[in-house]
Amino acid sequence: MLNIIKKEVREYFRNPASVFMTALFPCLLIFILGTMLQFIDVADYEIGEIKLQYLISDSDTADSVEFETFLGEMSEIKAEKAADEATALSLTDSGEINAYVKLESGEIKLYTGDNRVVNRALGSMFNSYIKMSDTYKQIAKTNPAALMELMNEDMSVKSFVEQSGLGVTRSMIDYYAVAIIVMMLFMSCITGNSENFKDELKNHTLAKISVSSVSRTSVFLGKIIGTFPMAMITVAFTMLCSSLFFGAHYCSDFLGNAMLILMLFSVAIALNALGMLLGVVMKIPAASVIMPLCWTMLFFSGSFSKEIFIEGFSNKLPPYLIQQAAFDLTLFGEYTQAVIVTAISLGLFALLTVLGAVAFSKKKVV
Amino acid sequence: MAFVEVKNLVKNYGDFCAVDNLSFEVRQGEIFGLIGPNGAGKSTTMNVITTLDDFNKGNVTIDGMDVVKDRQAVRRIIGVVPQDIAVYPYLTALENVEFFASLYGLKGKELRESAMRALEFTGLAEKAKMKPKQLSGGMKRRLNIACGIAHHPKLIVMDEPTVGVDAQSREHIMNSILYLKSKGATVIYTSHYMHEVEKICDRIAIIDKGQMVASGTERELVSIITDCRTIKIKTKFTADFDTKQLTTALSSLPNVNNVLLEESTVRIDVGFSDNDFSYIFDEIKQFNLPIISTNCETPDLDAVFLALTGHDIK
Repeated sequence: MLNIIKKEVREYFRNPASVFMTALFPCLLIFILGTMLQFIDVADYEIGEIKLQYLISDSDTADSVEFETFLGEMSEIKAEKAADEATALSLTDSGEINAYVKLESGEIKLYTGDNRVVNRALGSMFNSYIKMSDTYKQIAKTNPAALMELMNEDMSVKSFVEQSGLGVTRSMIDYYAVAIIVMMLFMSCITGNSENFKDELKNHTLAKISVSSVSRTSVFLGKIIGTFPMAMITVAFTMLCSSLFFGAHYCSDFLGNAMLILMLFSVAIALNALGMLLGVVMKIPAASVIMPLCWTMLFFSGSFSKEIFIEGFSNKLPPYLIQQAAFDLTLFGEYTQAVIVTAISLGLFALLTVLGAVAFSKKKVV
Repeated sequence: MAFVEVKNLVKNYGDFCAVDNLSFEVRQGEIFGLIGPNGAGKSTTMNVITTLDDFNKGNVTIDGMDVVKDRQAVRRIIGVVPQDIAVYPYLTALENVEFFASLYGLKGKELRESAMRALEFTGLAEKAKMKPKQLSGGMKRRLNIACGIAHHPKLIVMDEPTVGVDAQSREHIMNSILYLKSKGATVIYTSHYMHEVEKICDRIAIIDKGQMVASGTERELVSIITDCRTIKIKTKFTADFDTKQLTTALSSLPNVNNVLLEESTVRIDVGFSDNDFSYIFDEIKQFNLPIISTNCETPDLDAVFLALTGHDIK
């Protein structure tokens, strides 16, 4: 089996078409869509008004006054004093308000609802507030004159959020980076691998392998595992190149990026296994059926435009769910969906591999 | 004991009977030729022997092992050289040979040495690092052979391995097969080219429409359609020469079946039992006739095939 894996890897790296389709083409697409189309397509998610209730345990202190002033000055936030903590938490849970915030002994505690974009914005605002507040206090102690100069500078909310809030300035290239990788996984992994056995038939090598002393199951497993480097390169190389050369941002920390790579790799190998299975069982060229299906699915999953979205349909399509899990991870640091997608993908990989091996062991090669 | 034994083999594709009650034996260490036109059932028979295809009736054993019950064991001792060139375009010649040999359990130094030996044997050692697309058609054919024999199989099944190759490569391939035989390999060989089969095969089976037409050595097959060969002697008769006396004299010679005089040519049908025709020439010289040229015509396999099946092999 090891020899079959080695052969598959060698063939992949020596075939310019497969290297182009899995490594270079995704980068090119990210560059074209992300860089050139960002001027005509913008990420314009409207956060709108944020409803928030707050409680301050030590009123009339300098901290509390400063905190209430901050809440009052934020135009996006409609802040009300909470009747009590239990009610505020209940309202947050039910979605009637977006969040509940409590200032206690100089510490800010934020309880958020289920709107992740609002949560992210609130988190950014309060993190920035805490950092700025600490900075002011430090400067006030050591250099009051500098503080006066700082107070006179214009600090717009926009620059505030861009510099400190979201960590990075997000652009369309970040969206396309994820969307294109998911799209390429569906296109290249399924169609490419569905042709794998067809190529063996075309080269007349399948019959020759089949009369060797290696079992058909080993041949199938070897071919499946041989696609792993291709899957890893499609994911990791595209992420690396799009980050280094086109300035795409994924997750802000190593763990998040590792999880993203693991999730996309799991999706890739599951799609590879699906492609292989289809290549074994389908008598007509699998690509002729798979390509239109993939394009349709990607079209309605918002890969190409956010305007094409059918509620109840688009959000159930696999590419959409994978993209959402990736965005949850990259934008909000949320791991739950990514872990679910990874687990399902690995499960599907195992199932499809078994089905493929069974189908291949029964397939006539002459 | 036969090394390969095919008994009453029947293979149907729906209503079409591709192989109809076919039986033959291949002895250990011989080159066995299987000839027949397209659609005769040669490739189907080969596919059954190489465990690639199943069959409806009959029994096929190789080295005493049943191709159905002992499939994996049978696969370990056979090497296949398919009609189509079966190599990977992105692997070098050496990598191709190594890959196919590795599928039979060869590894490490043994694998590398066996692969190199197979390439040397087929005259491709210097092309080891070249990819198939850099090789000529004949070289690709030889690479195809190297891929099928590197693991030292006991039985080598070659399905038209010389299709579309130049004379030089064809000669190389023919000599390679004879060398394999000298090393103890048993070879089953199919071809459209009768002269190839005549040259290298110890025994030959002619099949047509899925059925065995005849089998045996070349001599045995030819003897089915005729018991003699024709010697043509060109001479010069004078105007008063007594042709009747010459005909009577030649006809009375041993092993001569028939004598016919045509203008300046004497046609003599001679039985196969004798290869020394000097006594015929001596007899002609006694009549003071000059021998200008001689020609011995022996029916070939094409003639045998035509006579037995009623149609040409092509």
